[in-house]
Amino acid sequence: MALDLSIPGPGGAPTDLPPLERRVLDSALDVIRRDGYHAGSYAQVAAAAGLTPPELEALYPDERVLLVDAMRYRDSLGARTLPDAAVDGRGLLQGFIDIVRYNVDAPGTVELFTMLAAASTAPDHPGHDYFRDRYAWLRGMLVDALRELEQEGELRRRADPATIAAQAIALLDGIQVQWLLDRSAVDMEGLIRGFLDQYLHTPLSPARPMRFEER
Amino acid sequence: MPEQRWSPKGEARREEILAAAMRELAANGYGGITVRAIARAMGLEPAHILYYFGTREALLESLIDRWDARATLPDAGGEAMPGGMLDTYVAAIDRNMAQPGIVHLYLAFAAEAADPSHRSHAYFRARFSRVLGLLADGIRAEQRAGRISPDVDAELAGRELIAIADGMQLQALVDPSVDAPSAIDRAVAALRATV
Repeated sequence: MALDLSIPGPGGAPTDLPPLERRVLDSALDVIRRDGYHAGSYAQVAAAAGLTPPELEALYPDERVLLVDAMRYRDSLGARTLPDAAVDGRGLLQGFIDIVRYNVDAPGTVELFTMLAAASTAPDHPGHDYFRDRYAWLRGMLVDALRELEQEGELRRRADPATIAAQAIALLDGIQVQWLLDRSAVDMEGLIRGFLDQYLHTPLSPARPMRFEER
Repeated sequence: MPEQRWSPKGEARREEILAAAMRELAANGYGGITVRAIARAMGLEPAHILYYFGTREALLESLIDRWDARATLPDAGGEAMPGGMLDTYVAAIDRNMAQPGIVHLYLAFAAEAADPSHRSHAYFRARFSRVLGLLADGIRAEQRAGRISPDVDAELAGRELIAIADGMQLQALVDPSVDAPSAIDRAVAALRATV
């Protein structure tokens, strides 16, 4: 898989987890994708993983840590299941668009991600370091992709890759909240594509389907 | 909560409670501002606070409104910022970063309210559309003045600015090396570079 590149996820998200942990995180992602995460979801995750709630509690006493681990695991899966794309700057931006499109069909996951990211801005939240590293990792990837395009003369305007990268990530996080509040008012994929296209000579293509289920 | 008019004394009391809530927010974060904690800090019964605000959510909404009002109202001199709404917005983000507690409250509360069954869902929908209206008007005004290209879709660009501002504040709160105000400033500059 081409986009396997150096995307182990921030902090080297492990896809080679011990079987039990992997089953729990798979179950958590399934539950979240279906219904989002609400009161009662913790018990659902336990049931889906074939555990009793006390057994899950022994593994994950802090529910927030379970959620942060689930998001970290999802990052590593996401990096592995992106559709084949050339490992170049344009391919990476295209992969970013594919993920946005994928999210449109997974509102439960977007909801959890959004809540967790916001909650993690508190310095004592267990996801604080994870989100800090994740943003740095994402920015780094996009900056590299944009620099490459810049060197190839593909960037349309004089634009600072670091600024565009940070803005693109911010735009996605911010628009997800607006989209969750009013889905009919926001075309997430079109908006993100339009944002990046304004800096590119050749516009990006519409998203290609990707499936997290294949793993 | 339905709109209610308070006597000057009641208004002053609400203001005291909101000020105490801000102090609680600064000291203990978003999770720390409960009706009980504010009541304890003020030496009041929780019921007293609920009498003025109804619910915790309504109190938090009032906190955000109070913060907003101070950001968007013209300064004491009565003059709006010369650059108009877009510059006012950039200045507001700058001001936010000095108060991470309120930004944390806003981001976390808005994310929770995305759930349609959340008590503040309608509040945040209305707030986003109000801010969007202000920014889109600001963009159209600059389009008329020839500062922004007429080809820019004002609604879409306004939505983007809000999203970039919210997302940049999120990044800045987990990583202080991120400069959110300058990123918003550049987003506005990019709009103005369209002419």
